[in-house]
Amino acid sequence: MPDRGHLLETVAGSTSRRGFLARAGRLLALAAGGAAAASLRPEEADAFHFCGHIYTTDSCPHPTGLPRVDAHGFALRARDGAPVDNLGRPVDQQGFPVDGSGRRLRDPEGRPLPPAPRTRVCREQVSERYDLRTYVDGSWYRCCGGRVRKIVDCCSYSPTRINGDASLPGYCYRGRHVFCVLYYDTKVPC
Amino acid sequence: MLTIVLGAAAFVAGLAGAWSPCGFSVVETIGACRLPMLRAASCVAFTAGALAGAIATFAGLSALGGVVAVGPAVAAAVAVSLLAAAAEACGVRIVPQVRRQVPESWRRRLPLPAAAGAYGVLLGLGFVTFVLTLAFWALAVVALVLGQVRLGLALGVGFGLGRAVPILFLAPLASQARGRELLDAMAMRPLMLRGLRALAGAGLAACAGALLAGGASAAFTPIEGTDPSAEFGVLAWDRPGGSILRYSIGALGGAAAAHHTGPLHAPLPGRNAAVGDGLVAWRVGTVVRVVDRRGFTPLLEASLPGADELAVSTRWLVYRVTATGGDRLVARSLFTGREQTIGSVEAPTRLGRPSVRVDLAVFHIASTRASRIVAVDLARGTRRVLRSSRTDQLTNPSVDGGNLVYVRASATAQKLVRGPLYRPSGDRVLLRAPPTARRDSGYEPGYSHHTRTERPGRSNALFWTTALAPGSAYLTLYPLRGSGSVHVVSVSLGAKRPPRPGGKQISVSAPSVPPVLLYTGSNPSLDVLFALGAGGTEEVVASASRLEDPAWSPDGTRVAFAGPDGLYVSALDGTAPVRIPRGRSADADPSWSPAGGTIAFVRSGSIYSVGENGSGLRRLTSPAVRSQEPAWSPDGARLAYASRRRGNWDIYVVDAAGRERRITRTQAAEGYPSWSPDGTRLAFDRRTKNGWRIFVGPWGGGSATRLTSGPGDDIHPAWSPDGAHIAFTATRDGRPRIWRVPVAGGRAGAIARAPGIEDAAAWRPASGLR
Repeated sequence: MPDRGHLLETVAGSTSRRGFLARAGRLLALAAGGAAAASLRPEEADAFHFCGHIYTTDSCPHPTGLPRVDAHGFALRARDGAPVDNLGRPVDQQGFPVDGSGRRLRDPEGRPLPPAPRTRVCREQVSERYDLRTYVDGSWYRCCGGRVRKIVDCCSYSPTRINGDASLPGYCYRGRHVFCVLYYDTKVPC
Repeated sequence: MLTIVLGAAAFVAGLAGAWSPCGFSVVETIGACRLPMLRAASCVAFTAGALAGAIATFAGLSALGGVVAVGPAVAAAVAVSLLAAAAEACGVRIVPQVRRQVPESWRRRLPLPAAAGAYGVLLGLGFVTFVLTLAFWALAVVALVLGQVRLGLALGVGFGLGRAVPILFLAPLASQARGRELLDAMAMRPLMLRGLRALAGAGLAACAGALLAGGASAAFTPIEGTDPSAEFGVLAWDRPGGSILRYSIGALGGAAAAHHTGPLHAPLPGRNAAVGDGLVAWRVGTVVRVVDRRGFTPLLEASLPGADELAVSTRWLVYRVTATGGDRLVARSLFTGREQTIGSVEAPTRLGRPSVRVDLAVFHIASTRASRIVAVDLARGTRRVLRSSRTDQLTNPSVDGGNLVYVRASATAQKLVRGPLYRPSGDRVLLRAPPTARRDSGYEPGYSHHTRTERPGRSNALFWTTALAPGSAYLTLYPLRGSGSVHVVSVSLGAKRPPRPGGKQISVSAPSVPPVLLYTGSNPSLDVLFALGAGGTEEVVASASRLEDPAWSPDGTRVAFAGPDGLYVSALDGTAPVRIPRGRSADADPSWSPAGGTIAFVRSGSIYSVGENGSGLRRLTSPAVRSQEPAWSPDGARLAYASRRRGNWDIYVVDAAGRERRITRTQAAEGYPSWSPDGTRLAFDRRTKNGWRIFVGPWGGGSATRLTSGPGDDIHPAWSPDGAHIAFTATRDGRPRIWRVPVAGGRAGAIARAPGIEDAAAWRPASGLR
């Protein structure tokens, strides 16, 4: 029986996103049964919610929603790349929450509001929330909206992924599987 | 009250269930049984099943709601109740309507009592079969959002009984002509069901009323200001002009416990007010003062440069020093003056506002790596992390007894959490709100929105500082955006007042000089009756666990007062006071008739009169309205009192013939009438926009003159026998004390110096204070 994850990657590398969806569904239907195949029936395989992400594994929990991170794995606000703390508030370099114009938010006495934890999304936030040891292993670059974007897998040894069904190898190494996904936007035009 | 109303509404909702296909079927099924014993057993089994099912539904929903408790639960319950009440009144179609029925085969396969019991469970559950009233769904939502298992049980019992009663009543008659006619009427006259639905609607409206009257006000009382600090019956907080101390006189058991003025507010001349273990601390510039709350006796006055947050307990003053390089928390012994640093961090890590009880101080440490709540035993110098998180922000803890309240903020919610100090698994959410940061959609335009990303919306208000006291938790809601003001909300924790020692024993001693004025001093453990002599001497003449509302007899030889278990009369000569027979523990506000022998008093919101020996008990005011604070006119022809009509308190006078006359006609609350010695005028307190003030006006009505002004509240006037002065309770110097003001106008001044909360001044007839 072919490795389903490998099969998907092979197809993904040579096709458009939407074309891939239909074909992936057909391929999986042909492959042996199981939870992953069942969850990837063609009509349900439309679970990809940001450009470049062609698999069905869901986004990692992120303070502001879309799982954009910086080069170190800390959360960034998707729309403008502003660094945010674990509460989703834009923060300055020292970690103090700031308003839209970059001024520190202050308490009723005029003192800066205290900083909240700002931890790496995959290595710390996912790890803590799902009680997993997580790794940022491999990645893949794609062209999205005229810029190169890196799709980052948050990997673990868990046989299930964040969706609750069977996890796939994705870009992970050493037998690990994708638990959830992140992305990193570059400024490289494409 | 709320429990009863909810139970009654659920009962009516259950009654409406008899009109469902299942209800009719069960009546026919049990009614078809010819054996009376078997039929009775089936009825009992059905009742037990219906109660079990209904309790499972409503208590289960309540328990679930308790786990995920939300803040504006009362508002949601009121809204749902009112909406459903309107829908029921209009006979709106039932949506959602479960269109399943109980399995018919059970009655053929099972013994009838077993089948009846099983049918009872299904009908009691409510959501598995037809229910022809919206009240069921509304009450289910109410149970869920209120999250109180006690209320859930009441709803369950009410609904279960409502489902059972029609079966119990109709099943034995089903095979008789009378029963068939009744069932035919139920089936053929929709007006019966319509009437029942209207009744259910009225029940829901009553629920909304009860929630608004009790639950809502108890659960949410916004106060403009920030940084609350609390202990039982006392709350302090900061406002732009300075700190405020609020005394919940009723909670403290003072003489004004039954007074409609509710809490009294006293200004403090500074900021960062903190209360704890009977002490009050505040800061003026760099100077921090600590006083004993009972008498405002100074305990500490020290210059503490940089101190910007305070906490105080019996033994310690804990303060935070904020500097550019970092924060420091210092504990200073109130006995030795020795200081110890209990926390120190470098920026950008921050230390939070401290809270302290006895020897235990708690505070938060906020950094970008982790968030922690730390406790330090100040006596032993040990330190323990109570809560920590690398993902959430934990801030502003407050401690009371073995409990902790704090704010937990994440990307998806802000929560006010309460739990045992050393057991994080016991944490329970008291209030919940969306986060302050905006979240995006979780998907990019043109891509699937089948994402698990939560999008809870955004709150403008930041959950900020907290306070914890027996029965209440407090939270500052700080608007980060918009024009709202910062305010403090309270959340009722449902705890009762701590028991007072002393039982029913009353100690009485004779004053060394004839008293001119009596007043009460209320302390957490004891009420004391003080006598003020003509020369300004003050002495204790009586004490008890409850001792309120002294009133002189017309000849000035005896005093009536409210004691632990009713009204008492004492000659203040050292002999034991005499209890007026058949009294009740909540009897209050005695007023001696000028002719003597009869005492007017308050019981259960009505005014009664009774003879000294307990004879001739008579209610003088209507039980339909709440009345209190009676005062006989000097000639005994009239009785003045405060009464609440149409939501407002006014002064009324009733004459011997029972004719009642409204004296004050303002939208402001008025109370505590006191007659002038010549019987032509009345003094009373009135709520103004600047607090409670003393007014004087003609007893027959007309414009009244304000006698007092200044910070704080002035309540409870008492006219002196010579007519020249009015004594009253004022909070302008930090705590409720007895003051006096000339009726002709002039400066008011304090006349008593007793510890505790002073109140209820009573002049002895034919006396005067120089």
